[in-house]
Amino acid sequence: MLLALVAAGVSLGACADEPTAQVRATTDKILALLADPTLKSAARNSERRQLIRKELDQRIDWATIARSSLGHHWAKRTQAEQTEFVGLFSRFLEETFIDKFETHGGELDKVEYLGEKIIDEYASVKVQISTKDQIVHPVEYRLQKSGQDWRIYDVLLEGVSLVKNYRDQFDEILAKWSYEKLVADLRAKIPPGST
Amino acid sequence: MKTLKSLCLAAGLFLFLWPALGVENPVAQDSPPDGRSTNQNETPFRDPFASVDQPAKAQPKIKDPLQPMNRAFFHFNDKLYLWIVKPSGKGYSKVVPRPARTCVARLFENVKYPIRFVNNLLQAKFKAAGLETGRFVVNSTVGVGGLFDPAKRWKIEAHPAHFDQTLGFYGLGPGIYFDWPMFGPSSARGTAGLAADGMLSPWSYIGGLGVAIGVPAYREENNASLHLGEYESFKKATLDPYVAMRSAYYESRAEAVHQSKVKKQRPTEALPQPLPPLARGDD
Repeated sequence: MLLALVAAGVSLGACADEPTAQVRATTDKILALLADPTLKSAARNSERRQLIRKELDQRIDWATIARSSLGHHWAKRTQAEQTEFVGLFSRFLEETFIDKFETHGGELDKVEYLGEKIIDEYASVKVQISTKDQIVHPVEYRLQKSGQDWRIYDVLLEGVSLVKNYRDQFDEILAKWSYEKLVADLRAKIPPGST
Repeated sequence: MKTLKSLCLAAGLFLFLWPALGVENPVAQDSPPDGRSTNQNETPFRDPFASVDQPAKAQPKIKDPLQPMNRAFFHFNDKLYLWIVKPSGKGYSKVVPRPARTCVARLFENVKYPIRFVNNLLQAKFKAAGLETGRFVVNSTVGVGGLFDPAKRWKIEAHPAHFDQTLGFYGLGPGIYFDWPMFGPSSARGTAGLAADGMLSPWSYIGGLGVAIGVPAYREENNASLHLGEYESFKKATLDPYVAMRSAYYESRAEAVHQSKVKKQRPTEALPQPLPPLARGDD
C-alpha cells in the first residue's frame, strides 16, 4: 500500500515536472547553440539561426500567439489573411527573439526555475534570469499541452505580457490606420532573406 | 522651511493631478486572449492563470487623452536619447569600466533607501522596512557606502517600494497617461508618486539646484551606459514603440501594485523596476 502511494507520488511528480522540464530542455539547447564555438563564425551564422529557429518552433505556439495578439480583429480577417498573418508575425517574433539571444546572450549568468503550476491542460512556469551584473529578470512562461508537448502561448517579462503588449499596438494601428498598414509594417520589420 | 516648501509643492501637484486620477475601474483581467474565442471552429481560449494567479491585477483601461502631446514628448525623448544620452554614454563607458559603473549604480540605489523604507511602512510592511534598513546599514558600511551589495550575499533580500505603488496599494487607479520630457512614461498617479518620492531623495536637500539636477542626471547617464543598445532593440521589436512603452508601463505598475497586495510580508523577489526615464524600453 505504502509502495503504491510512493509510486503514485513519483509518477505524479514526474508529470508535474513536465512543463518545466520541456522549457528547460529548449532553453539549454538554445544556450548550447549560442555557446557552440563551431557555430560562432559569421559564415555559419545563418545555420545557427536556423537551428535556434527549429528549437523555438517546437516549443512556441506561434499560431495562438498571433491569433491572441490580433484579438477581436482576428475574426474579421479571411482565412488566407489569417494564415499570412500567422506566418508574418511568427517570423517577426523569431527574428526578434534570436536577435535578443545573440545580443544579450553573453550577459547571462544563470537561469533558475522557481516552480510551476498546472491547471488542466495549462501550465505556468516561473523562471528567474540573472545577468552577470546581478540584475534579476522574472519571467513567466504560459503553456498549453498539445499531445505530449507543452507549447508556449504567452511570455511575461517582469509581469508584462508579450501578447497583451502586441495586442495594444495592433489595436492602435488598426483603429488609426488599416490592416493593410499593419501587415506592411510587419513585413518591413522582417529582414529580407529570413525564412 | 525647504521641506515645507517641497511639501506644499507636492501637495499642489497632487491636487492638480487629482482629477486625472481615477478610482480603479477593473476591466476583466481574466478575459481570454480574444483571438481564440472569436474563432467559431474552436473551443474558446481561456488563460486560467490570468484569473487564478492575479485576481488583484485587474487593470483599468488605459486613458490617454493627451496623446498628441505625449507623442511629441516621446519623440523629444527619443531624439534626446539618440543624439545626446547615447553618444555621451558610449564615451563615458569607454573611460569608466563596467564594474565601476555597476558600483555607481548600486550606490545610487542604496541612497534611495528612505523611499523604500517609508513606502514599506506606508504599506504596513514592517518586516520589509526592517530588512531594507538592515540592507542599508550593511551595504553602507561593509559595502563601502553602497558600492557593493554584501547584504544580498547574506540573504538580506531587497524589498523595493515606491509611492506610486503605495497609492495603488490603497486602491487608487493610475489615471491618465503622461509621457514627460526627460522623465519618460508615467501616469497621473505615477507623477504624484515621483514628486512624493523626490521629497525623500537626499539630493533635494544638499547643495542646492546644481546637485538636485546634476546628480540625478549623472545617475541616469550612468544607468544609460549600462543599458546601451536596449532601447534600439526595443524599437526594433515594436511596431508602435509609443504604445508598446505605454502598455508596458501600465502593466508593470499594475504588477507592482499586485505584488504589494499579495506578497504582504514576504520578500518581493524582483519587483518590476519602473521604466527608466528617456529610453528604457526594456521589452
